[in-house]
Amino acid sequence: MRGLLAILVIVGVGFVLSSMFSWLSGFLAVFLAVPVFALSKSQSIIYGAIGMFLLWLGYAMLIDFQNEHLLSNQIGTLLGHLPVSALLVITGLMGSIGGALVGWIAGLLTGFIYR
Amino acid sequence: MRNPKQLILPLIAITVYTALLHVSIPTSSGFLPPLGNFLNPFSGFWQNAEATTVDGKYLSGLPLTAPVDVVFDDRLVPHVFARSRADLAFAQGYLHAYHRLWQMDISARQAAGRLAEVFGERLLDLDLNMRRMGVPNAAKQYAISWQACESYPILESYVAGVNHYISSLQSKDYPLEFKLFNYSPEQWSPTHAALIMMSMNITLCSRNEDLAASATLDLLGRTDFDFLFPMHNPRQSPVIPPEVEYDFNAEIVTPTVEDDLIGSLPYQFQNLTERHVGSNNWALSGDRTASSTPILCNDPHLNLTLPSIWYEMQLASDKQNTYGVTLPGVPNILIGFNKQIAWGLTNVGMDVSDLIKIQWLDETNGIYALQNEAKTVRQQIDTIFVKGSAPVIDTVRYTNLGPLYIDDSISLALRWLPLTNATEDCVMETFAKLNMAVNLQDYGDALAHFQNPPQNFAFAAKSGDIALRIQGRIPARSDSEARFVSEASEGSSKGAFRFIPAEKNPMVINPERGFVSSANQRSTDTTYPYAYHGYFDHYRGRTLNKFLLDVEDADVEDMKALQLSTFSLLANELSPLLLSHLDELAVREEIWYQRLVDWDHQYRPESIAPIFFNQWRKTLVDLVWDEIPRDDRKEFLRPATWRLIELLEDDPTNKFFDRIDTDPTEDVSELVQLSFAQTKTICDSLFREDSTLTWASYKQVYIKHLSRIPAFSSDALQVGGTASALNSIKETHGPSWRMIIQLGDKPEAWGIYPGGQSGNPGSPYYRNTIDDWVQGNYYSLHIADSPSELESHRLFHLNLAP
Repeated sequence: MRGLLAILVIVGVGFVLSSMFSWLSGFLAVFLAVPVFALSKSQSIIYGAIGMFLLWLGYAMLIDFQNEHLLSNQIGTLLGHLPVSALLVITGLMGSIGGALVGWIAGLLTGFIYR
Repeated sequence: MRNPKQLILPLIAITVYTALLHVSIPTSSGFLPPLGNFLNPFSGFWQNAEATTVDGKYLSGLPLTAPVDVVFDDRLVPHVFARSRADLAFAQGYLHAYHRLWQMDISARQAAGRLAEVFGERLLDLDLNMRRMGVPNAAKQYAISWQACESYPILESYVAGVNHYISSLQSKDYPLEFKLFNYSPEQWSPTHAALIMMSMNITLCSRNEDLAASATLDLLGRTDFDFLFPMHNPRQSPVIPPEVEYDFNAEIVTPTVEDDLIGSLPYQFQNLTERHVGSNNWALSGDRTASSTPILCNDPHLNLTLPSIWYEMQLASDKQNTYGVTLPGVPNILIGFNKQIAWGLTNVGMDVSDLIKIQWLDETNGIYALQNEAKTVRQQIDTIFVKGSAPVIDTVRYTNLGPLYIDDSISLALRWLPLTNATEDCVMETFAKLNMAVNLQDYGDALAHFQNPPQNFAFAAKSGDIALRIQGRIPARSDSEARFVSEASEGSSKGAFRFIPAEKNPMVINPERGFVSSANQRSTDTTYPYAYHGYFDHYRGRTLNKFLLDVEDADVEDMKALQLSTFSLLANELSPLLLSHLDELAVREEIWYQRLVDWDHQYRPESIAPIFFNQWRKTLVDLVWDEIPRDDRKEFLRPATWRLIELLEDDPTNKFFDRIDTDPTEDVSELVQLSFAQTKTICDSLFREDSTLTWASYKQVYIKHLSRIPAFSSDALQVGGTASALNSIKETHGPSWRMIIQLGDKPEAWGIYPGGQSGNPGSPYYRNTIDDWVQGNYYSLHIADSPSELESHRLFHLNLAP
């Protein structure tokens, strides 16, 4: 339950921060979630990755749906004839790698501060 | 964490990750965009995926004097209603930037010689060529000279509109291509607008064949050259009908240059445009139409690109209500109509570019002779920034004749009309006034400001007047001076261009035949007192004039059929002639022979005969003109097809029909038969590879994205047409806008261009008109008096408010 809440916070806060400020600021949501939910180092990495994966993938899917895949088809072709689904997954993975790395640091820093 | 050193590894990892997300990665074909910037859904490419449904918008706080109402119709065409011309221009600039910002940026960059900044070293040569042609400098001069024009405030408002939009952008809002190529838009200026106009000059009047002509003259000698390359085609049907009489003599004496002609030189001019692009316009008087009202038609043929070169608009203010196509980057409507008049353009095709050898008077090549005076060359040193490489320092030297296009052991100056006119020009005035024109007088007043590139301006008015004027500054010079490289030697009178007086430009008003027309053919017959040289078409004008002479009670459907006509007069004249030289008994069972015999000389998409005919013509031409080599290092001219036909008909034993690499003396019939056999082998092979081959799939017409990215370009289009047909669709060029205007009580108009209003590949309006254009469909063009009239066509509303 705690993990699910952490992921929801990362997705929600990440969306607000990314939309209001720069896209990189969305990763701060992971920094916020790790101490709030007292996540362990491994949980920080995993939940950070899952949260940012869902945020990037979900938002990209929403845009793509409204666009009826017009642009994603062309970008997929541009990037080596990738299907739209692959492009969406790659987008999600790019976010998840960042989320995992930030979670890793956040987990270490949280330990450094609280222990 | 007990040891802070544990942070080192993840920090390194996140630094590497962040760097990868932000850095362009060079590849063999360019640069990959920074992946994080490009892929993230909050500011990357996903943000350019426009929703297929659009809501209205309200923008306030704009530097306007009154609200501007913009109604986008169901094709995303903005109908702009403003209270003043300044507000209208602001809105136009804003909308151009809103839909076509990257197109504007890259077009200006190309003319400015700044493509390497975006695309890296592979486009550096193109940039250097643009600077050798003096284009960036000329644009700066145009921008300065425009400041004295009456319509300059309109340009300023337009530029403010563009910049207001650019300033409102965050990086997430940038057009897709800025993200892909990882750069930012820069502020627009009158110089950028001038670069766009220079870009049109490059397309329409930059062609130079002087080096090729000189090489060919050197190869053949004067007698053979004049025999193969006569100035006049006796079958030509000129723009100005022969019944127009010229009651004046040429007042400008052109210097003889025969002694100054330079032979073959080991250089090439990098032509950026094809010889014949192909455009048509005509206007029928009410006497010739079923509706008894004038009809004006125009289909300017240009490079087919995505985004499309044109942007369709209605512009209404207290002074005008005009509809037509605009050129993103500059204000006003360039081709269009209002409730009183309509106008359309085709390129004259005049040769307005010369290469002139400079005679140096000193050892350091710094002082040169010009009209018996010693002049000092001035040099301009520019820094060209190159993406991924060190900047390049480039020096271009300028003479009074123009920039030194070749500056080697031999120096050739480029004397080119747009460079000559740059210090005194008001081209914006022409279109500002045409937008507001209501009669023939206004049309004449507007055209007086237009200097280059020379255009055939067709005109029709509701009142019944029709007219066509060859407008632009036309250099007055002898055939030789225009065609070949010559030297500005000591004692030579050669200097800057001298021009045919503007009032002597050819023009026709309300001709007896009841129509005016042009299709890039020669402007006048030989009775016109001044000599001029150009790259003229020889078939479309004849086709068009014949149709217009014959047609009675013409209606809009007739006009559409004419614009879409794939009939080739060239094929109609050449094919039967070639077939007559074949031994019928030997070939009558041959399927290719039968196809040609049965062919109606239409280049339909599904036709097969044109594949054989075009290949046959090419093969024959190579056999006949074997005296003129194809050489990658040196370019030569080849005689025009009309001249080949003339020789085939009138002089079949001419020496040129004998092949130079064989002992026996061949005649026409032998060459025709040999070329037929060779073509048969080629075509049989083609059809073995693909038995479904048709003219459309053989020709392969694409509409390419401006950056040549296939994913943003069209697929191969199933279109017919050929260079010599009115529907002159070629591999990369074609009718960039088809327009038909019937000037009744209320004008009725139809038009289409291939592409879409949006320049964003992620928009449903990026390529939505291509299918209709391919199928020859037209859209009704709605010129409304008020926004409420457009209610049934409205897609969404944009309100711009002070």
